[in-house]
Amino acid sequence: MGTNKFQETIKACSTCLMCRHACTVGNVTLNDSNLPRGKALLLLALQKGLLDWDERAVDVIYQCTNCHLCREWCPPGWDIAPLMVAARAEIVDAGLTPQSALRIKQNFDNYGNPYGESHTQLHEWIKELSRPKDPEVLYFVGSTILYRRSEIAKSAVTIFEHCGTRFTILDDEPDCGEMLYVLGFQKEARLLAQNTIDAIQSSGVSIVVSSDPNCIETFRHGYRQWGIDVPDNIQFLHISEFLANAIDSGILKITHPLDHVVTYHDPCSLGREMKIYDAPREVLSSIPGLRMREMRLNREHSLCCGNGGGVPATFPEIANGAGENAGTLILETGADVLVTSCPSCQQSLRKHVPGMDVMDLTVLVAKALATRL
Amino acid sequence: MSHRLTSYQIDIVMSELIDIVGQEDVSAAKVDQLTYAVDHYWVPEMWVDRGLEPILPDFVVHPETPEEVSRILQLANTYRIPVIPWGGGSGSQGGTLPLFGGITLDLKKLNKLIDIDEKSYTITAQSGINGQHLEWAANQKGMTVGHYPASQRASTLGGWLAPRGSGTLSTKYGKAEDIVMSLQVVLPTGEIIRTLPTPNHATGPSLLQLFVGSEGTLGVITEATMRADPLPEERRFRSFLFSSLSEGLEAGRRIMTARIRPMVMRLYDEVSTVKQVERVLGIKAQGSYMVVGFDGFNEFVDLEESKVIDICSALGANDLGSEAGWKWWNHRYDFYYPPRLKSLPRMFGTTDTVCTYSNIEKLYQAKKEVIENKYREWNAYYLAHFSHWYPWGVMVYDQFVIDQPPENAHQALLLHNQIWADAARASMANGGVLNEHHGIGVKLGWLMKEQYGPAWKAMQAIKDALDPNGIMNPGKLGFALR
Repeated sequence: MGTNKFQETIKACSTCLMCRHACTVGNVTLNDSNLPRGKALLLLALQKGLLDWDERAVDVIYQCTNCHLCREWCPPGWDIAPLMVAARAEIVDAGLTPQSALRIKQNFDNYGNPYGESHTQLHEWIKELSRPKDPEVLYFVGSTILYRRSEIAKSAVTIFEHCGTRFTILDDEPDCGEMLYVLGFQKEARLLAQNTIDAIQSSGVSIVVSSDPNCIETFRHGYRQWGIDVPDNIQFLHISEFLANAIDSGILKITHPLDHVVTYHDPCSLGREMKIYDAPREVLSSIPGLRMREMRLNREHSLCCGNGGGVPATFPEIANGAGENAGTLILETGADVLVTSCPSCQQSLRKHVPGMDVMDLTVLVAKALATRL
Repeated sequence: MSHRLTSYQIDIVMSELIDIVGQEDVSAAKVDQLTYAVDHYWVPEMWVDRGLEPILPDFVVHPETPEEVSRILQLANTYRIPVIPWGGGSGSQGGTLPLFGGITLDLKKLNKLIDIDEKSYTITAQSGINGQHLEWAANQKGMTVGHYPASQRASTLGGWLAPRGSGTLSTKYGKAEDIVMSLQVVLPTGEIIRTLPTPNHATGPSLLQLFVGSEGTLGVITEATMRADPLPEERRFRSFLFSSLSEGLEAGRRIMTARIRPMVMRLYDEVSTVKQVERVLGIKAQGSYMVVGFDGFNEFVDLEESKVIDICSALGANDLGSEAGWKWWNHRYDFYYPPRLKSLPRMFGTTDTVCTYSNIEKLYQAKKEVIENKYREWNAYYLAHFSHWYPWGVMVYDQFVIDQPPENAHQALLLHNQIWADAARASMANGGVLNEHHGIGVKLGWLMKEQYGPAWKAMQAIKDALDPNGIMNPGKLGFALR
């Protein structure tokens, strides 16, 4: 059983409350069952025969955004998130999956994406793009951008064109499978992942760039953990890394000033999962006229927007509450623009920062290039 | 007060609780009952570890206002249901165990920051506010609450006050009972009251201090105003190595009686110096290690540090400089995270107490002797450091540890209680008290009559007057059941 691999985490976390102040879901529900300790104690109690799975117990396991804030504040680095993912797989195997998670799986079964939607205008726009026969870069759009934030993809194209990059985008791009995996549908996620990595390989590129850090993290680390072979000759980069490299090498010069006071939100999957904190900041600092104000809790301590771990689908009120908590911190900065580098974060935070513009880093850079959007 | 509700009564009470707080804020689910049956007390953790079900509450309720708390207490009086206030659940004395079932009242939804008075340096917040969040709010205004318990991130404001807790810097900034200005409390019969707006006055006995330390037995603390201090201009550390504990204790006494005000002094006995300091801080040390911290204006820090260096040098201490002290400060909570946190299957307890300087050495020796000699067959060992200093005395933060206690839970509990009684009685016999800053809870309640002697009658009379039906946290603090 998957959770058996995490016995040390269960033992450690079941008696420790020291990350209470940081737990994203705990700070929304204010219920101790939602803390890492509550979750670990639940699993310990199951092992000891003190508890059986019931609806509430299943709910607690799905009430985690996998933000890793607990790990970040823990000097020895205990992390409840991978234990939750393992526990969800056991819940699915036991046939106890919550209906809300089953609906997401059905969306994947019927439409190949978590939104349960067919092709969009962006799909058609992508098909019209001129693509070279020998691309060096594949821009992996990701489902959230495909179905919710098309302007990010269009901005990325603007940037690639400006840099003279030989790029391509997949028609009928498959999902990376991350959402399926974190909801506990590991077998299905692996099948999808194999299909996706095959499609990427078929493109012949050596570099994959995405504005969605969830996808990049999944390609870089997740797939291998799932047992999927990932070719060593493909480099997976978040757009912030691509931009920072392009700026450092002189390929990209941003000359158009933007008169904004910005603050930057570090996404969980870009920051705490891939430790990419400097590249987005380097990009922001290279835009003339931009003034940056850091949030009181930033980088590894940046608050979670609430949209991770499948929680917007399974417990939207918790996701909303987490977004509101993050929004309070963002508004403290007094900035007029919130910049983030994750479409899921943007989807959450735009609801919780009244009076602020919310922009993906990709879109901000494209704006600064002052060319077509 | 020792009966459990029938299943029909549970449904009735559930209906009434939902009526008060809403469906989302009441639970009788096993998961939640289990979560709130285990705080940081060794006993329920041991029960779970041994596969035994801890004592569960019937309901876990999350009120959002003092008015909801009042209605819940009135309901509890009607049905004679126990009510157990719960803040962070980080207490080590079993103060939140639902010994007779009932309603565990999680106060964390009463978490509003109400006011920061920047002129008077006071902060008012509801009692369920997280300790770290409160401190951050103070920091944004250039202030500190000055209360840094190891549990700061886990505990709540109410949880600091209920057991008269202490923080790492209490030597300078005071314990919870020194920092609190006033309270809002819901009495056991439901009245919502406030204590006087200032802690110092000549307006009768202190109602404020009646509730501070009451551990949920005399009412529910719903709001508190705390004194704050300016964030210091500078913090500085210095550490010393004495040849023995005696010299270290004498140094501490001279420092405090000279009315020097270090923000912290931590003096480790010889065993702790080797076991903890060397292992955790990587400093090889034999003897008795002390770290002293100073904060405030640069000039004050310079002066206090130089006076302390003089005192310690006169007692033959090696001056280890400042680096080791900073290392301790930056890792001071490392001891509280697993795997460094003592954990099962070990049996352990912090038998802290406080006494005057005249008594401290003999108290320490008496406790060390009883733990190590009487419990030799269990290979019990005793560690101590002295971490909270007063103008008149010092507290000893001492622990007993048994690496391999009995596997049988009942035998383990009997051994546990026996050691605790011996340690506590050694404290009381040598001018100390049952506890200095962790509280009494259920663990030490049965020794309270012995501690207070004839004065216990007054304590019980207060309890009976305020809580005639005995609903508030029954079985705690040693109060008789009603």
